[in-house]
Amino acid sequence: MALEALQKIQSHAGYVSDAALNQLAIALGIPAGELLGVISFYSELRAAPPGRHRVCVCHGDSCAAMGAHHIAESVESYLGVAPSQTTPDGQLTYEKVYCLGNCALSPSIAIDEDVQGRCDCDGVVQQLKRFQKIKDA
Amino acid sequence: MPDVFLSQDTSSRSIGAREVEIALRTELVRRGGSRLVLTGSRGAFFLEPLVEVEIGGVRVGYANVRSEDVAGLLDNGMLEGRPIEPFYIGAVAEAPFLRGQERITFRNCGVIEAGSLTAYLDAGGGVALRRALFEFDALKIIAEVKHSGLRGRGGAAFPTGAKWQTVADCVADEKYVVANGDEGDPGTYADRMLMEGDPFALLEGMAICARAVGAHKGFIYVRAEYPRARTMLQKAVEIAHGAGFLGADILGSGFAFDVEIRSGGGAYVCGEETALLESLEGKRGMVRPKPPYPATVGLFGRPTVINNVTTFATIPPILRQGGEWYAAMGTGRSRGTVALQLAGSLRTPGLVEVPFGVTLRDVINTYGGGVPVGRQLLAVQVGGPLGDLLPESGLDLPIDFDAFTDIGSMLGHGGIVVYDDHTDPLQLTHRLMAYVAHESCGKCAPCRLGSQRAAEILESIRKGEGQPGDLQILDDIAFAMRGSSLCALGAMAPTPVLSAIRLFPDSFGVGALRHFAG
Repeated sequence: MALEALQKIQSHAGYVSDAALNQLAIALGIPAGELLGVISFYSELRAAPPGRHRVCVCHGDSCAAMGAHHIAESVESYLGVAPSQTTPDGQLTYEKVYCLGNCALSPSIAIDEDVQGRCDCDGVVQQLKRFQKIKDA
Repeated sequence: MPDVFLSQDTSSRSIGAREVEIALRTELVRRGGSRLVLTGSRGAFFLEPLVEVEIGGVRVGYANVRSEDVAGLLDNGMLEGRPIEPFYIGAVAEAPFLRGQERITFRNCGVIEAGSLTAYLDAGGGVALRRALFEFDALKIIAEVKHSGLRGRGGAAFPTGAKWQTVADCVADEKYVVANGDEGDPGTYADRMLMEGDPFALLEGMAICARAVGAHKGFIYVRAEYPRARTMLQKAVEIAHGAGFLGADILGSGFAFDVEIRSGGGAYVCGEETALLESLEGKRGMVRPKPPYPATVGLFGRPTVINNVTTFATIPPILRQGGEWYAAMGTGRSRGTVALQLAGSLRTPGLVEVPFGVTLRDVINTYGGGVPVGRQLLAVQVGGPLGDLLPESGLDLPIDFDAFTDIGSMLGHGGIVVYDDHTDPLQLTHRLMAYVAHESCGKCAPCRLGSQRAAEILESIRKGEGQPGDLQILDDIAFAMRGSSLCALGAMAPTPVLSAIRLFPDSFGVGALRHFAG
């Protein structure tokens, strides 16, 4: 049941802190190392706090066929971070994902849980600018 | 006033259907009358957002509507079904993309209100479950599934009836029914469409299975990337409980069956059935050696039926109309219909449900519309990231599990991704192998080490730093991975690489053999 418990912790706190991990290990009666193993296995689980929002660029086969790497390059150069990193202002965590299931409308990105299809580089960067504005305001 | 229909599945919303819904709702309230029915998608995504209006029992469509078009469309008589350019497409069911399809598994997707049990029952849902509870015994249910010839739609194509039989024959204190909604193959979206657009079909299929094998507990494992599917299913399970469609005494039969929804953690390998079971048990999703198969030693060590979402959703129509009816469609040992998911560089990609036996070329051209003008088809990948790359000349292959197996490939979950001449074969194969290296669960060495090493070699060839003998090493790695990996992830991973080397020797030769040539 470790996975489900970790998912619950993350849905409340945004990530699984060391303190939470140790508490859970005691509660479940399993070594903390085993829980760490579960966290490191699943890309959705995080041991560090994420940014306020999350932008995912899909690299699934269909999106790759439709130029996902161009989208990724634009996002990376605009945000100045590599995949799985968060912008220094803590606003956006950028992730590379493998298939959002939106393959007939490739290329796709997701901002938080909001999937967007038929993306182009300029449009995506424009959207990221919105987040910067929210920060500036 | 006529009913108005609009898809709210993830894909439709990804290109503005949410905004269209808000605009429509506001305008319809202001103008008074019409009911707005939110559905899943029919899978003709190139038409979304697609507004449908029911006129005299026929649903006419207005395609590619944006929120700012809504008021104008209503002003110009959309509710009377007027042909308004450039949106009007006439009767939706007669649209070229949908006309030739045989919708059985996807009969309700995009047609009925998503997540409404009333709408599901009105469309013939529940008849099969009643039959399974009150008319048929377990033997008869399994016999019908066997007669249908249904094979697992997740990718392995194992005969569903035989799997159910094995679990039914097991004696155990507890048995489980698990729906695999992990749908990890990039390029596929059939399960997502069903979970979002017709969740009760999945629940009904699972309940029928539970009745057949004697299970009382079920799980649906939904991948983390599908939050909307999870929400829709969660609601559907609650509604089903409230209506006695699930629970301690289903439809007054005395039979008990409960379903729980579980989220995946973003790991491709968890689509493999034994890794999925490990994940459901809360552990790292590491593959288990087989045998024993999950049918005898599955979830928490108990006999478990684990079927794909699409497989379960196909059960109600089979039980309603009979196994023979279903088996009458198809070809060879692939009976019934198949849900093909077109993606990549095509003019009109989408979900196509047709009887097995049509050719790949037919599907790509007739439904997918071919590659966009100005592009050339490079290769077609069928069956996900581990599937074979087929050249233009290989497209006359029939859509049939065994025809694909015979050429060392697989139809898999029915994903068809088309690559055009803007794709670099080297970059493509490197990306695919790097993906496997990233997603390998690490349990067996051939997959863990082989994929890593192969990805490194492909990367060096791509950078023009290939060494003589690289291709031979790739071939050796492929041999080891194919022969001795624990599951299909490792065993199939070399497939696209080997076919790319075969199809595009020049791409690989120039870099790899540079030192020879020099």
